[in-house]
Amino acid sequence: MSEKTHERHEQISRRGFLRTGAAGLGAALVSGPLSRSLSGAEDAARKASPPTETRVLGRTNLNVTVIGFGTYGFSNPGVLQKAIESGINLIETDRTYGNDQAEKAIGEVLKKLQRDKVILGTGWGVSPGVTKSQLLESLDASLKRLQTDYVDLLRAFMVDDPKVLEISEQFEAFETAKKAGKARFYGVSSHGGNQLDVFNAAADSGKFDFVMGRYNFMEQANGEAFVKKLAEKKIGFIAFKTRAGNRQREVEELQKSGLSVRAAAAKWALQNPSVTSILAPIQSFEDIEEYLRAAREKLTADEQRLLQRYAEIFDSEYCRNCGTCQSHCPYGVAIADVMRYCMYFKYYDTQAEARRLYAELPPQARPVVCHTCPGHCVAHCPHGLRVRQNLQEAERLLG
Amino acid sequence: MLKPANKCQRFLLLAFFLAGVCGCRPVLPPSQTALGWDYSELPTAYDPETLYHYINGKARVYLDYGFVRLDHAQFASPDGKAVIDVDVYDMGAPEGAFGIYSLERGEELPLHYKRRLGYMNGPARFFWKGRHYVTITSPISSAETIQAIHSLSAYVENSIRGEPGILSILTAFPEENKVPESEQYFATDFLGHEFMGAGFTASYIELGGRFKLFLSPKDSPAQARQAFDKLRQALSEGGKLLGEEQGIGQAAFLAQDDYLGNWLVSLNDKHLVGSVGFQDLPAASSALLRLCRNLSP
Repeated sequence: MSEKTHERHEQISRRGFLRTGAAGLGAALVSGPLSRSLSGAEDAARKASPPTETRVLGRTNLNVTVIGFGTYGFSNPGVLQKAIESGINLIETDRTYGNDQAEKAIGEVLKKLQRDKVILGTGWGVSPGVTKSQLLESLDASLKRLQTDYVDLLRAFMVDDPKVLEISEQFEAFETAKKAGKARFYGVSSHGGNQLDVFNAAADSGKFDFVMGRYNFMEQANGEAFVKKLAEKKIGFIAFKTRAGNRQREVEELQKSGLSVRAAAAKWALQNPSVTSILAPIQSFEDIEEYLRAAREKLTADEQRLLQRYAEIFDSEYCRNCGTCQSHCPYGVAIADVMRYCMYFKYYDTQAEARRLYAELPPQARPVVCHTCPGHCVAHCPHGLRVRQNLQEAERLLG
Repeated sequence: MLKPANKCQRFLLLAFFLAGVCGCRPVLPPSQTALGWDYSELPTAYDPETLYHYINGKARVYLDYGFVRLDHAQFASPDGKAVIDVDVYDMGAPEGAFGIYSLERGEELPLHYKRRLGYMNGPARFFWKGRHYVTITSPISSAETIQAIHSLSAYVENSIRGEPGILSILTAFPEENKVPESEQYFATDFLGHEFMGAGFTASYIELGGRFKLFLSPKDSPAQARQAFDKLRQALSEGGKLLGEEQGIGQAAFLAQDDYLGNWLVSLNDKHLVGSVGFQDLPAASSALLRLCRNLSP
């Protein structure tokens, strides 16, 4: 029993239960779960379940678990502790997650555990004009919040312009940090429309040890190509956004079969051996169990069909708001707005808000004339969406 | 060097501004709200599908909190060397706006800006009003930037309709020994359990430390009972159930786990309430009793 734990037992026994006359409960506390050391709890958790698969993160040679812990929005630090005790060794964060709060929460948990059991990553913001000293100050502040001397993985955070990768100050700052033992490997994360350009530039530059980016079953063709290129260059790849989109209602409907979309999506991503790890948005104890189970199992035929169905629904109804239809509508219907409000109504449980927004549209911008129109919008939609049908549905739901 | 908006862009911005004034949405500040600061990124709106493009993985959490729309613009200083991002999130309801605000603030950030809403953290201001969560941030800390942030904040704050204030449910948390402004709202996975759904917490000072009171409102007493039973089950499996407690709500139990320490959990009509992380049981019980009393009709 650690001194701190022992002291806590003493305090609660003395000030708490004995004072309230619950002597029996006081006795129970002495042999309670806190009498185990944290390492004991860790061992017990590991013995209870098979070890989680690890893969080598490119040229870093770090063995990381295929499930990583994404660290934004969890309300109980115990969830992170439990995840580590359950064998997850990759923790990724950034100072912008919760206005420093995620790094602080991680720091509180890490100080109770063995630091070297965890592969810890954080980011710094690289933009034109940033100086070496600003970057190093940012890293020092992160280390202070994380209550550690070093991070294993340091990355340029949320890069959407390949030119950012040319900013030399980041490499100078990283080399200084590396020599000081504050960071071990350097990478970049990207997720937006320019992700492919960013990763191609990163692969070609030879200066990045790993990259983190969007990878899911909806964007298979593009994804396979860049992951292959990264693997050829021995650049580790950590995937996020493995569950494409956030169609809550569709997901609920599909999951009535008893299958989990996020588990299936995780399995799909991990089928590719060049994906070293996926960052799972873990917020609860139940999430830990689900993702670790997914990591142990192969994607089944039923799950494959589930993802295909999800992709079909998503792709056939997903308006990218490109505006092409709008410019071809002879009646001036506010197509993009109407489609968006309909999406709110159908998928985001904000029906009242959707109706309110729809009611604010000028009458001529509503799709009341669509039933008499041949559908110029459909003819010109570059994505083949059933625009007119969707607009008529919107009028039925929102009008 | 960032280029200021050209004449055509300014015309569009004027149209955007007028449209905003006529509509219900809060408007982003027009160019020159802070003297000399011009748009370097024109106002852009993000919806639930595109929010990922702007805030990455955080989007998932914002969606859990009811995100509806983000209005964003960026301003550049007169010399083009500093920028300020203005982001106005419509979270659909005050709970969502307060929830994200409280999630990102934490407890220890000083409230430097008490005469107005929210707080400052370096060259950044954060506040919520009505159903909107607002962040006005810059990577550069200078007197000019801070002054511009204040000007932009005042504009947005005034443009959001409704009275600032706290959520009425938060008044149930007793004031005695409460850490000021420590209330938080979690939209899902409250206290790390999916079945808990949403809930509120507030921190309290006890001898040698802090503990939290929590409150998870349900739609009916039956739902509250179901969550109470599930939490008892989860704590008995993941920790240790220490026994039943009398005199707090309709039912109460005491438990312990490795993560949050001691739990005192009570069923109170449509609410699941409790104290967690305490070392001094009488103090935790007393605070919980006051919370239950405040919740009584």
